[in-house]
Amino acid sequence: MEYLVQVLGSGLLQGLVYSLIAVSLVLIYKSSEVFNFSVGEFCTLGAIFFFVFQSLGMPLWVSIPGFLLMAAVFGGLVEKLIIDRLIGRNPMSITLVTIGISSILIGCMLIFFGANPETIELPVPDLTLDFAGALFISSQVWNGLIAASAMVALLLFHKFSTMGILMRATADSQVKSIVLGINARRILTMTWGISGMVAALGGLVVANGSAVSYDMGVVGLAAIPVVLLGGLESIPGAILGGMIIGLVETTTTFYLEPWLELPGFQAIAPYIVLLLVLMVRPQGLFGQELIERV
Amino acid sequence: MIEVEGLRVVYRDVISVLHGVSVKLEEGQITTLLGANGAGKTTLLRTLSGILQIYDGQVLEGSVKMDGVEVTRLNPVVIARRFGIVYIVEERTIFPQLNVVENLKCAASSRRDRNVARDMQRVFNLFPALGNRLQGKSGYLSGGEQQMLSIGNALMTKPRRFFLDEPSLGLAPILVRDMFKVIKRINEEDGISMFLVEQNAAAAMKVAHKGYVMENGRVVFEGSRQELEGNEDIKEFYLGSGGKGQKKDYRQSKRYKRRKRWLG
Repeated sequence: MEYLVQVLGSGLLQGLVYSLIAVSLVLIYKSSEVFNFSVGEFCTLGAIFFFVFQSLGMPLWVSIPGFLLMAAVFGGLVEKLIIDRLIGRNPMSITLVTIGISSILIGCMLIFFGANPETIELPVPDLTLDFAGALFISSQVWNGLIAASAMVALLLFHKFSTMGILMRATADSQVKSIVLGINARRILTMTWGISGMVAALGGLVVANGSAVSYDMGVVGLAAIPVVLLGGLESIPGAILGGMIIGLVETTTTFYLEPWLELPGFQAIAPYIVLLLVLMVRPQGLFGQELIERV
Repeated sequence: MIEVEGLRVVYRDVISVLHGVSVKLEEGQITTLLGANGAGKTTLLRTLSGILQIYDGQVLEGSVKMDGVEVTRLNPVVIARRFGIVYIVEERTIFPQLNVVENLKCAASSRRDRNVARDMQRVFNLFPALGNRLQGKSGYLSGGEQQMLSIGNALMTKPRRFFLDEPSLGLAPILVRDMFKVIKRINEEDGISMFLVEQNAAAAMKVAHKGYVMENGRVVFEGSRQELEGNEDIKEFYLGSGGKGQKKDYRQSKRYKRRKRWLG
């Protein structure tokens, strides 16, 4: 029993981290049908931004807004300088460009940050949980909490704020928003900024309690089954998908692998689950149904 | 005033759609543009509103002047805001995933003044049916309600000019009548000029001050409502009543050819 609580708890906490990264992907996909393959590098860069503040000895109330702002500016700049020039092209071309951005970012981080991992430790009170015989270490709990609260905030923003409504509107149709005098391009830039911010926070919670290194971006790959499972256009889908994938990973590691005697099976288990779900619901669990009048 | 002179437009560098179109849209008036499918009506609206490049189109020659300013090179958002234009596209300017109030808020978002709530009330006064459908995605509204919301969205931008692309499309006859009544009312009460592109010629002519007929990328007829209504060809091909009340005789091949030409 303690074992089960431990496994499910860790899976859920890990899953929340995946969800956060997946939400970053969904924000961009929803608004422009572009799949941002550089999301992992956005995460790494965000963690590096935080590391810079941390090594300067800044208090949290400076470093958290500071690194989020830097990440937002960075995301917006990528859109303004690269993506904006490609608007109107096939989203697939832009998606391929993001793979290029990813390579460039890895290279730049290797040059400027170096190949050595650096530890990241949020200076926060100890929240180590020890109940029912299961143990969750403080950083793990904090990471889950941060991810969950960021996603709640984002959902509220997306649902109720004017900017959120505009983001959903331009995601619905860029042409229609333009003819109504809405500056769709600026909203797309801001969407990338917000997505960059979310990814940076994702990077922070991935690195917190362990370390950030220039090649941490592979964590972005973990978000791919998450968004496909949840549906590419759905933020709640991404959140739920992340938790499911987290649970699948840990239960596989602790129950299935010893039983099957297949170490490493947890790496493919999410894809098997994904495959099964997509057979029943090709648009993912919460994929957007096209409203079509017949 | 909007003046279009000798406009030539191509898509993808080769597909020529407009071959020298000139029209003049007076302030405060309803100008209608009639024509069959493929005549270039929608292309003209896209050019005027500046979204042509989104469809890979290009202005080769000619000019579009709004209040004396050349706009063919301007960004569509700038055109919309500066000249108070809202282009109500054929697919209806609504965001299907948003509910009614979110749609209206969105449309009003670029405004700076404080009368948004009052204008929203006006939309609900014009279209009481929308008031009963506040919850749920607007994509699930009926066709008529969607068209109402489309006009409502347009009104929320506080425009001076409407470009309407086939507002009657897919509506039941009784709804078409109501729709044109509302268009007339908005024109008179809010003083919004209208450029009304229609296939439903009879309904459009009833409200218009002036009209143009386009065919294969050219303006082939231009005149006041009286002139349009008095023209035999237009009567026959658009209003469906034969000239001089005769029964149509398709063995008169010349007449048949002429009809084919009109219908494109």
